[in-house]
Parts: sequence; structure tokens; C-alpha cells
Amino acid sequence: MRIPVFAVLAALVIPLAACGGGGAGASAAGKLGVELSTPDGWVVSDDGLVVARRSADLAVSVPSGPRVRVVPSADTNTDINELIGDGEDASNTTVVDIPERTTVAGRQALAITLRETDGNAQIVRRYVAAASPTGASVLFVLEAPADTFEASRAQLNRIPGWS
Amino acid sequence: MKYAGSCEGFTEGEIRVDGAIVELWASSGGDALQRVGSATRQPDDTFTLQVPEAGFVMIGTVHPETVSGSGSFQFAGSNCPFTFSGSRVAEANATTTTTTAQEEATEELDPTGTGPLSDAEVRWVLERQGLDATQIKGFFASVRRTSMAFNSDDASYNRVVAIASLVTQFTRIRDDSGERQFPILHTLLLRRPDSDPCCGPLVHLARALRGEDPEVQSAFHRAVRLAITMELP
Repeated sequence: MRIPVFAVLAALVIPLAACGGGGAGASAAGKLGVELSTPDGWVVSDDGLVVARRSADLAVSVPSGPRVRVVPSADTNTDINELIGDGEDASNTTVVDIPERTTVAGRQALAITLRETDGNAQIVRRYVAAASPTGASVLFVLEAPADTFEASRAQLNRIPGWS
Repeated sequence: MKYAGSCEGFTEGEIRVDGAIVELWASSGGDALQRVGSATRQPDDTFTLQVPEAGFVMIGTVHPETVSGSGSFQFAGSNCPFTFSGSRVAEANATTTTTTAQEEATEELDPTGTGPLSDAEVRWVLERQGLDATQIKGFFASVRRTSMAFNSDDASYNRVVAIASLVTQFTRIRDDSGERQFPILHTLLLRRPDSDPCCGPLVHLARALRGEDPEVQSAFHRAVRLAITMELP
């Protein structure tokens, strides 16, 4: 039996689109050498750079549940003095985990976990900086509301990886 | 702009020339640079600059295109002679250092350290990056000026800002040559999504230092150390 080409393509494309891992998304993460594993029932953004338990959390600044995102851009001309000197007061930031060496899928990384106030929300963010296999410097942000972070920590830690 | 001079106990000085305006900035003992005086004169005038509160005296000549001169200032009861010469520029950095035995000591970076990076540690990092002595002196002058710009009496916070500035300058140096030597440190400081007006986690920590939380302070310094050592061969 001859199977139409479009049927084969549809069979491949539809599942990828459903999980958001195809097309431009895969290349965005791929350019960084990053691959986020998606736990069962979680969702991934079109660009492949955000994984969240709730789809509503993919694009918001403060998630209502656990989420991992890859921060892909940085302005190399940013004036650090302006960032520190003119920003809003962050004196309510506290340290959850002191800076430590760790690994992301076998590659060296540096991690800091902070409890931050973002708007009216208390959120814990674990920042993990590492060099990807492509040589890019990548920042993974593992985050969850402060009262649920510890319960999600182990699962969040398993999500960052390399393509 | 060249500036030559030495004086016991005087560790660093800087002369800025902007047209016919001459300023002397000075520091000692690792303190932030302080503006100790300025003068505006016509070309080739000889002037004497006195700053009563600091007790400094500077004598020199000024020309709108090139500047050169000699003079002296008083520091800790000693007369400190110096000469300077160079082209007119908007801001000319010139430093001199009377190196003390303590500053010469090589102190490697301890990744587990939680206090501010010492001058010796910073010097070690810069040397590992291939900066020569003149560049390193300029670097310290720049960092101290940055600290001073915040006009804060909080030495710890100033130090953090100074180190952050230093790190940024590391990055710029490497960017100019197409290579970034401290990508992880840069990421921790500046990495941010386009939609986020803020910054990386180290900037969060630095801002939080305003609360003078010792734990936050030590975390910031430890993170800087770890990030630097991870990037060095």
C-alpha cells in the first residue's frame, strides 16, 4: 500500500507541534546546545527554552508553579553600574543556597539559589550557569513559588540538559 | 598622559586633563580615589593648586594641546615630587604606584573565600589574563573611580560595585578581541531575557547588599570567585 507523503509528514509534525518542540523552537534551543527534558504532563514553549508544569506559566514573568527556562540573550554593552545603581531596591533578596559548583548533564556549572520578591510574589529561583557543548554560556533558571520550590527541586534539577 | 612620581605611602594618583582644566585625584592605602583639587588656567600658566582639607599641593603648567609640568604635593608630611606630560584629551588617566611589600605578594584566588576580593587577588586574576603592569594600574584606578562615583560611605557596597565594574571591563576587553574569557561570570551578572529589564543573579545580590546582609555579601563574593576560577585554565 502506498502511503501519501503528506500523511507521513503529518504523523511526524503533529506530535512535535503538540509538545511545542518543533520548528524554530528546536533550533533556538539547538543553537545554544540546550535540550530541556519535559516531565510527563508538563509543557514546553515553541522556542524550546521554557518548560513548565502549567501551560499558563510558559510566558508569564512570575510562574504559579514550577518552571525551568533558558535565558538566551545578554546585552554585552550593559553598564553594570547602571544596573546596580539605578535598579529597584532588592534588599529583600535572600540566599537559599550559597553559590556552589555543580554539574548539568556532566558539564561544570555554577549555581546560586535566591529567594526573591517579584511583584507581590515570593519566588525561589535557582540560577545555574554553565558552558554548553557549543561553547555558549547558558543560564538555566529553575523556579517555583517559594512555598513549593523545595517539593519541586529534584524534578526541576533533572530538566536542564544538552542537545 | 604620563605621570611619574613616587612618594612613600602614596599608592596611586591620577591626573585628568580636560582642555585647560586640571584635576588631581589621589588615593592611598587602597581607599577610593578622592578629588583633591582642580585648576583652570591659560596655556603655559604655572599654577599652584592647594586643597586645604586634604593638605595637597600641586604645581604644574597647562597647554591646550599638550600638557606637561612638574610639581609636588604633600602627603603624610612628605614632599612628593612628580612630572607629567601628554596630549590634550578629554580624560587622561595616569597612575603611579609606590608598590608596597604587601601588594607584591602573590595571592591566588581562593574559590571558597567569602570576603571581598583583595587587591592582590584581583591583581592575580588580571595577570592571568595577560594584562601588563600599566594596564593593571589603570584598572585599579578605574575601579576606584567607579567606587567613588557612587558617593557612598559604605565601603563594602563600593567594593562590590568596583568588582562588578572590573568584571564588566574584563568582558569588554575580551569582546574587543572576539573572545569572552569569563562567560559564566558575565552570564551571572548580565544574562537576562529581553523582556526583563533587570539582570543576572549577581546583580540581584549586589542590589541586595544595600540591606547589608552579611550572608548576601559573602554569597556575592563567593559567586564571583567561583565564576572566575571556573573560567581560568
